[in-house]
Amino acid sequence: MRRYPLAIWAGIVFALALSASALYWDSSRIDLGADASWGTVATVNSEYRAATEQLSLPEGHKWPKATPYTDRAPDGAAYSYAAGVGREWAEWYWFGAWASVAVSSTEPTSVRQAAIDRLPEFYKTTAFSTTTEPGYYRRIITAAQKGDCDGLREYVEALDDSTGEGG
Amino acid sequence: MTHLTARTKVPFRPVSPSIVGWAFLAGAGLGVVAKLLGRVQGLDLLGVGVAFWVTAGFLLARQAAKGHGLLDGTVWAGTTMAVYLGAWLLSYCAAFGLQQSAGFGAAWLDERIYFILTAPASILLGFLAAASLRPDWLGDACLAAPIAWTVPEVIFAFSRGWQYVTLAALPAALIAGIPLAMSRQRRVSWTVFAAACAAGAGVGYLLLHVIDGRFA
Repeated sequence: MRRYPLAIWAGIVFALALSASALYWDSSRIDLGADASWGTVATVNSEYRAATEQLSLPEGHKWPKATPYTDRAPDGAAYSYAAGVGREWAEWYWFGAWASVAVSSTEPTSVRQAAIDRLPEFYKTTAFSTTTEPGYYRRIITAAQKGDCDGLREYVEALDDSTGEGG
Repeated sequence: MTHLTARTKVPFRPVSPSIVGWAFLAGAGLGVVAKLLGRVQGLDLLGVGVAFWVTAGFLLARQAAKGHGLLDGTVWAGTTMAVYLGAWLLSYCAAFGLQQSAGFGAAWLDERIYFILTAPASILLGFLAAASLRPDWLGDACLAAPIAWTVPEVIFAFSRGWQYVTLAALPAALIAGIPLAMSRQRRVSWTVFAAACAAGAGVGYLLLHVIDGRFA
């Protein structure tokens, strides 16, 4: 067996420990907490992936691989994102997906009703708590629960499919 | 009278194991420098880039491999590279967390892919560093490695404008040429060198786009 000095063995252990730690400590194991105020798009996407593991989409819908956010503006200026942006994007996407099923003209009534019943869960999300128009969302959800889906249909039609973002 | 011929092996004395410690210090210092440069317009491309910093570690790794055969040299160079890269990443993340008040956790998640790749990449980089010391076609091809992984970033700098070419691409290109300059005692096969540059640049370009997508 070749003999290497202690420094070499220490270096090997150091490198392996770093790689193994990175494999283990992913976004589901690290709580960014309230002090993590700004991050890059990778942080946003980490939050997004963690949120997608907790939210369920309607059958036939899939989560996008990542959010549409970028690290830099077209002029090259760097973007920084507040903590929670990734999670909120996932929640908006979730709401848009269930809303689209609720007003779908091809789904059976039972499926559409089940989707309408899921919509009030949106009130518990960070996205709803930070939107500037909570009243609007309460109106369209309440109206849908009472059988009037016109407002919800208008929302879905106006939704930007590329971002899935509302609010 | 003896003289060096085209393929004469130049004997080197192995370096002290303390080079591993120096690699740690160099990585830690340069990681902070890279994060600070990321805030300076024109130099930010250098700060957020990969090539310049990896090449700096590569130079250290070559030193560590001197005086050893290919296998032992790969172990010495790979370990030196791994310690350098690990220290660089840790200090970069620490600076990231402090600078942006984001906490080490956010920085860790941001750079996690690079931490994962530290060990396997160091094996490859260690081999390249050790092999680049050989006075044969393998050595000529491995000498091209720093240039190959620098080319994609240099091309990107051109798309950003002359300020970025001068402040980011030029330093990266200069440091990438150091291994070749240090090999002036032997004759290099330019055909092998050029082919390795082209092939390596293509692979590096693809890898950067995959890694930059953070699995997306």
